[in-house]
Amino acid sequence: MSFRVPDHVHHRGVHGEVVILDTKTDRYLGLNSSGAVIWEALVNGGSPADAADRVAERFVVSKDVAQHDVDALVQDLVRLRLLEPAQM
Amino acid sequence: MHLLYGLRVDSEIDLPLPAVDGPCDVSIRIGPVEPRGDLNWSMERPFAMSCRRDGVRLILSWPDVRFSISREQIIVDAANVDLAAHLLLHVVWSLVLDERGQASLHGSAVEGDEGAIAILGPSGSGKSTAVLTMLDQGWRLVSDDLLAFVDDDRLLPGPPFVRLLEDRAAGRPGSTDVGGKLRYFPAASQHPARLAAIVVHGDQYGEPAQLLGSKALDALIREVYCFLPPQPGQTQRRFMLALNLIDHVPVFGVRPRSLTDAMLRRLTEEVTPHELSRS
Repeated sequence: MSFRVPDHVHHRGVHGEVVILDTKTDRYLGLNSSGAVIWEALVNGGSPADAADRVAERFVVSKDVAQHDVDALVQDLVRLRLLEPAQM
Repeated sequence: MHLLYGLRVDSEIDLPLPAVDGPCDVSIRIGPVEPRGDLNWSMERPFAMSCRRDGVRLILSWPDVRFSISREQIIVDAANVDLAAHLLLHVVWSLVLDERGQASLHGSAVEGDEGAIAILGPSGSGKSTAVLTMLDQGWRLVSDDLLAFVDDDRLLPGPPFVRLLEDRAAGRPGSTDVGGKLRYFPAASQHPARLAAIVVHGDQYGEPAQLLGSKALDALIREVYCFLPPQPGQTQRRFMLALNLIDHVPVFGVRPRSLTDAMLRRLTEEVTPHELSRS
């Protein structure tokens, strides 16, 4: 599954992190360096598995651990409507 | 014609600002203002105040003064003109800038040979003390209370005075304003000043350290000049202002009332965080 950023969401990289602004709620979220790697993978068309590969390589963790973290973050981002499935 | 945060102002109210020539950007007129329009926000304590949106105009009402504000004109309805002038220069002007698409920050800034330093933080955190220390060391005032920007890292000169409480005013020349503070006119910058560093006071900070990523964003977002709920588009403008500043200017967090003269000078010399913590 791939994802897209909804039109009401703005994001930007800063100092190796990513900050995301939801203009509907006026709230913003900061992703740390590992979250930034996941976000960049997903918004550039990658799947959660692709994102896990990048995290595992970048932070020298097992694929299982990386996948668990990716899945948890994706769930949160979709719940917060900061990310949506690309097929919508 | 006067100059206020980069805008040429033609005012029927006397304002303590430098005179300039050129076409008018914003006119200030005396006239009746009715408190009409959709109520945006109001409060009763510590003082009664309301804000309404009437088409393209914002209507601000205090007990003794009302303003009708658009991006090119302010109408002032006041029994106390001194009070109106006092409110115009910062509180009202922040809204004029917002109507013109410019976010601003709450803080003060001084300029030295290596650039300007902006000092942000809540009331009582030591901003004025730090600013006075630098002014006494020969730095120039850029702006006090409201910080407005041009490009991504240059500060616009504000009114050329700082407002001091009685305990800091002793021995300094100036006049008492309607709020009971002394207006002290130090040496002031006449042109936009390149920002070399931003220092944010906060109890959550320990030893002085550079703030990165979302910590830097948090620090600046908290200091955006706004006392009203955000209008459509304002939150994004403020977000982008903070991000653009972070991209171009280092942001440091410091404990309130801990800044020294030596520390401030080193900030403009682009010290590393390790060196700063040894100041």
